[in-house]
Order: sequence, then C-alpha cells, then structure tokens
Amino acid sequence: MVSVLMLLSPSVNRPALYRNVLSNGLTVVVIENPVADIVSARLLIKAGTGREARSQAGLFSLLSSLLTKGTRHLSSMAIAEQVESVGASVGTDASADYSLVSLKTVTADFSNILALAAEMVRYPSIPVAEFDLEQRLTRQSISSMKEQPFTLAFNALRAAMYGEHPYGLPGIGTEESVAKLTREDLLTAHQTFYRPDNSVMVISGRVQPEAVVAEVERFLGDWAAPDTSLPPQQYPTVPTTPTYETIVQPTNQAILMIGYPAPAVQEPAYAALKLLSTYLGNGLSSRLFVELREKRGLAYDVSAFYPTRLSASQFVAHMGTAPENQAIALQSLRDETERLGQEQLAKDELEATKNKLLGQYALGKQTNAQLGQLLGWYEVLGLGVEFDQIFQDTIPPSSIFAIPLL
Amino acid sequence: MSALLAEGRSARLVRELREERQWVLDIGSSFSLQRDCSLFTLQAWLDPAAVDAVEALICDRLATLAVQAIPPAELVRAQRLLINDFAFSTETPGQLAGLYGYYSVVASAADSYTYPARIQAHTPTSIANLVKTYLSTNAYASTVLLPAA
Repeated sequence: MVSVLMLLSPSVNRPALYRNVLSNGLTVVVIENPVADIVSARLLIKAGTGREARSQAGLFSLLSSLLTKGTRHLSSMAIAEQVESVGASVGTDASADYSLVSLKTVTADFSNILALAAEMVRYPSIPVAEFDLEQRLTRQSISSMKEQPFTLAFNALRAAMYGEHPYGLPGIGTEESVAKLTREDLLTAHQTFYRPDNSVMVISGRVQPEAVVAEVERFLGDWAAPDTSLPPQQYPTVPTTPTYETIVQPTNQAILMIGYPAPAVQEPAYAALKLLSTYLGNGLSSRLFVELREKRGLAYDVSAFYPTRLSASQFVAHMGTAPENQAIALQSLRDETERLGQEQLAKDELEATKNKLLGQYALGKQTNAQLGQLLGWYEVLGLGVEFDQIFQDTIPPSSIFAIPLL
Repeated sequence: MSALLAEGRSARLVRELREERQWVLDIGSSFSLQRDCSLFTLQAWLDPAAVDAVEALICDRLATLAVQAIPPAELVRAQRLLINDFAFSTETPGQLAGLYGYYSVVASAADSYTYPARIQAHTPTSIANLVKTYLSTNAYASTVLLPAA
C-alpha cells in the first residue's frame, strides 16, 4: 500500500508534524524531533471510564494494567525481560476518555519494542493468575484510598455531580465493581474497543517519518477492524440540582470542594474556562491563593482545576483549612469564585493570566512523551492535532508591556 | 548495583521477592550520589509478619553477590537501563540545567559526560568487588515502620 504523508507544519522552530490514516483506520501521527536520540510512542484507544457501565467501573483500568502481563506468545516475565534488557520503558494507563499504551526507547531499539507493544495490544492473553493478582492489588489500592481525605472528598463530589454518568465513578473502579469484574469482561471489552479504527498512534522523537510509518504498517497494518461497528456512545444527562454533603473523618484538616458543571472540550467556552481556572487557582499569584491564603490566612492550600473532557466536565475549586474555619472558608471560597460573575476582570489581570496559561502550556509539551500525549489526546477528542495551534490562537498572547513586573 | 537488584520487574530482588515468592508488595532501591558519603538504600513494602524473612533473604543475596560473579547478560541489562535513563533525562532544558548544576556541586559539570562510559566500564568482577567493599551485611542500618497494633 502507498502511504501519503502530509506535512502539517512546515515550521522553522517547531518539530515537523505528519498525520496519516492506514487502510485499517488506524490514525498515525509522527512528530520528527531530533533533539535527543530517543523515541516515544503512544497508542491511544478511544475507550476509558466514559465507556463503562456503572456495574463495571474500573474495567478499562484493569484491562490496561493486564496488557503487560501476558500475550499469546509471551509471559509477563518475558515481556518485562524484553523491555528491561534494552533499558526501555513500556507503560499502560486508562483515563476518562481513552486507554493508553506508551513506550520509550533509544532510537536503535524502537522497532523491537514497537513490535512488542503491538503484540500486547492485539493479543493480550490475560492469564488467570495475573488477573487474580491484579484484581486483588486493585481492591487493596481502592481500600487504601479511603484513608486519603482528598480522594474521599473528590469521589463524593464526583458522585454527586455526575449521577448516572460514567464519569461519576473513579477510574480505578469501586470495591464492589472491581470484585465483580471477570476475565471474560476484560476480553469482551478488548474485542469491542481495541481496534485500529478506534485508535491513534503517535510517535515522537528522532525518527524519519516515512520509515517510521512503514514500521507501524509492518506491526499494526494487518490489525483488522471487526465487521461490527462500535457501540453507540450515549451519555446520560448530569444532575442540575445543587447538593451539599459532609463526610466526617478524624483528621487535622478539613477539605472543602465546590464543583460546578462545566462544558466539554468541544464547546465554545472551553478556552475561557481554562483561563478562569488558571486565574483562580494556578500558582502563588492566583486569586484564590492570594485572597484566601496570603491575605486571610484561611487556607493551608487552595486551588482550582477544570479537566479537559469529551463529555460533561466540571470546574472544581478546593481548599484545605482548619476544621474550626470550615464555614467561613467555604463561604469565602464560593464568594471568590462566583465574584467573577459579577465583577469584570481587570484588563491587566486578564493579560497576565493569558500569558501564564500560554507559558505553562508551552512548558507542558517539552518532552517527546508530553508532546505526543497532547497531540494524540486531541485526536482522540475529535479535535485533531490542529487543535494545539487553534487553542493557543484562541488565547492571543498579550503585549509584554501588560505583564506586571512583580 | 541498585539497578541490578531492584530496577524493573526482571531485576533480581523484584523478581524473587515480589513476582515469585510474593513476599513483598513492592521493593525498590536507590543510590543518592553525594559529595561526601553517598547512600545506598533498599526499601520494601510488605506484610509485618514477613519483615524478618525478607531482611534475611536480602542479606543472603547480597552476600552471594560478593562472592559469585553476576552473569554478563544481567550486567548488560543494568548498564543499558542506566545509560538509557541518562538519555531520557537529557530531553528538556530544565533536565539539562538540573544535571549540570547537580554535577557542578558534587564534582564538575563535565563529569556528567563521562557517566555512560563509566557505567559501561564495569565488569562482573568489579561489581563483586564493590559489593564486598560497600554492601557489607554486617554494617547497615535498618528501619522498620510498623502499623499501630
């Protein structure tokens, strides 16, 4: 087959970027970055927590952790030996909207490790003993999370905000759901969702684009998509009624969290909300930090976040405070967050926030792995690699004269 | 030695204690390079009942390392891990600044260039000698943190 590579960014300073779709539907993105003698590759499968039935929460997390524990030809230890004998790394992960297999090697070893990763993704054997062990370890992890106040609070917040939506349960699952998962559930999920036309492969590093696409073609080109189509994705609506919940735990610090339903990544307000979370909660100069910690001494720590999601997201402001300050702290956290709806942000503050967001965005894609992850994720979200530039253009950098010097 | 013993699932102690015997939930090793006396540590997370057996086994395996040369393939595995780790940690300006700054403090910045060659120069014999000199099972400190009864 003839591969046509399209150069997307004929750039001077930026690494060259190519995107291609193989005949089996697999999207391949190549980032040519000769800075170091290494290659990072990531295969993102468009299925994560968002595809789980509530009774099967933790399904994709458990499946991804078992990919490295055996294939039709290789045992768990044989996989570890292959990877470690060349000093490479291979990892797996699952998150809200995708599952991930990632690898990193020096350039010379890339082809061999790519072959291994392809074997893991296509032919996991999920040995019974490994399944039992991983299931047990996962249940132990879930149980130990009950000792972590932040996780406890966030899980409750998420459950309240999402109702029946699959984002409402933790990615690792619950004790009940993980206990009920079977090896067959994992194999079914693998068969249904791990398919080339539902996946994106991103390779970043010291590679020659045509050669590396040929390598992907060699190991994943005959990975056939099943005849059946993917199950339709339907998200339940999320609750809109405000709720309030208190959990009592014997700790020295009260954790407060406020969550607001927030738009998915495709919606127009996405960039503005990223700016808001930067303004409110990012770093020592952010409003929540300055007002609640520096000026009023109410917070041990305080922050805000707004995750990028395919379906309904949430805007969360949170703080740790002394238990006796709980009521006043909660009111102040709400006031500072919601004041943005009444009072316009000063121009210089907005400018400074834009610069901060763009600066941090650039710092967040320095390594091959970070860059590949970001572009692959945009592909998974249906935005395409172009979104990297589109997002930055939405937030035009301001004149440097607008940045307060201190 | 740290990579040889506990870096990755196929490393000696990880393989034996976590994968095969399943005596520990996890085991790791680290070596902190300092200007004066550096520190070699092994740490394990395990059931309180297994502490003595695990400590005895680790001592036994260290003692063996001092007298029995390791197979060349095992040494090569550890060398590649470390040399590649070095390559992986020179990707960004921040990593490079950290590396050169750190070496400037403990030795000189230029010494960081020779790290891969120095790793490569080790042989099974030189490793055994290092174990004899530095990893004596009669001269280590051990700390055990137990859950409240």
